[in-house]
Amino acid sequence: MILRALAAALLLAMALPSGAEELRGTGDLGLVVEREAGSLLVVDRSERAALGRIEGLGDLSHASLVYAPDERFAYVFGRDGGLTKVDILTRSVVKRVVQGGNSIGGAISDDGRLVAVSNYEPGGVKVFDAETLDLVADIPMNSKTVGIADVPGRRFAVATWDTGEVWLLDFSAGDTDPAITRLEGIGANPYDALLTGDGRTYIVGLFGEKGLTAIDLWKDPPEVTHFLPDYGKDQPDLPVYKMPHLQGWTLADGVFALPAVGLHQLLWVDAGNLHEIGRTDLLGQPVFAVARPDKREIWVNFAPPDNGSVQVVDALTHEVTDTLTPGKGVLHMEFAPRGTEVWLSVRDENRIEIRDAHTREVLGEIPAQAPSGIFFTDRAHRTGL
Amino acid sequence: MGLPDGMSTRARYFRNRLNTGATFRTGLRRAGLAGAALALAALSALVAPLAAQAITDSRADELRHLVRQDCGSCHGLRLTGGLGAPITAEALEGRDPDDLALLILDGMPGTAMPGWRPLLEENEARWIAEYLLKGDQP
Repeated sequence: MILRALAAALLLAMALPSGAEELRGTGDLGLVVEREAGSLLVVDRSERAALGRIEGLGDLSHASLVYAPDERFAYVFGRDGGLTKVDILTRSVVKRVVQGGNSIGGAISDDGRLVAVSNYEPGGVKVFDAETLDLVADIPMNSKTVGIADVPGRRFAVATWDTGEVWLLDFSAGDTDPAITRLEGIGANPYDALLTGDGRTYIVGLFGEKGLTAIDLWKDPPEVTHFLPDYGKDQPDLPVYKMPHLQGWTLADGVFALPAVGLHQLLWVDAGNLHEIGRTDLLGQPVFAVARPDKREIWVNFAPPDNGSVQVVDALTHEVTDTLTPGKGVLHMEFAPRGTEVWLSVRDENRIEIRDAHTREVLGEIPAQAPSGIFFTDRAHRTGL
Repeated sequence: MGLPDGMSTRARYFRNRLNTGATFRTGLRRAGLAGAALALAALSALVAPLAAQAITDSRADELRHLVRQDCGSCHGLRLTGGLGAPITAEALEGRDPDDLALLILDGMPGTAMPGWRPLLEENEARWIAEYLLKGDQP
């Protein structure tokens, strides 16, 4: 009897993840990139607190990450070409490979089995087994690649900065040798791209020319449409001290809200016909234009020298309803999955600020070392992040 | 890599003096006054090298921060390159600090490199150029 109880206790102990002292879910957790320190801060939304750090991730400037479907493991893409798999429960590095000279982002396939990394140096895309981080496919593209996204059907889409193309990599038939669809003439110097949440439309932002390109992935072959070809044509370009990011571009009520490049404006575009329907003047060059999850408001942060401010824009009236000044160097904003609160990284003040996303009231703050990207685990179940 | 638009260093240097100290927005408005200011600007350019005014320690700290964080947005925190080219000391070896300072101030048309004149004084750009060439960044 005693022996059996002992055995049961032993089994139970073995079943627990090492380091996870008590059972807990991960749905209210997140990771914050501390780019200076090369570490990740594990944060708890419910507690509005940091639980600890994961260290030793290399150069994390411009780092981003994606989550495995279990919301326990995350894959971190570092500037030094490192791909690191981390366990947020045990707060440890599971595996790290240096897969390129200089990477810019990545994506995880819809089934969670493949992790694709987009590289500046040597360019192209490398794809890894999500379990082992073994290389399964290497697709050179003779270009820096940007805006990689996970397309439904075990596919990835990526744009090429130097050659102005979009490549679709289809892994539906297996882990190696993807079927490749190459779309040329997308536009000059794509700098980022996004996939709408339904996985249908891949939108490419262009730095080298005016306008943007939309690709309808539901059509076969994919249908390419250049839109807003004239925005900013009659205005002098303002200097862009930080490139806008297109993730978080929003589709609210059939309307895209897009950060302009070289203009201090938010552009409103009818998602159906891709015609411009309005503009909102902002205080600086927008970087992220992120919809609160209910899509009622768009929150915008800015490139230097205006990166101490955040503006809130009403999705119905297109008017700026609030200008907030959280502090120096607001790099990123992440909403709680159902939009109750928003977390802002205030890099130069070494803290994360938490605000009520409706009243904008400050609810708390968490010390962090030069924080940049904030990633909550609910991203695991959203397409195009 | 030469100057982007073929203008001589000296000519650019004179033009550059015109907007010194102006914010970007007032700089745009002031462009019309450029002609009137030319003689004076040319004169001051002749007597004042780019690094004429010393940078205070606290401003130097701010500039180091700017290099790391804001240049780092494109060139990488460790300046090893990204969307922008590497700007480590090794990568910049042999470059003229005045040319680099002008490149920082005026950017490189046709690329993603913006002109930083609205945010930096000329002596500050020169300080950054020397700082990059020295290569003792953390």
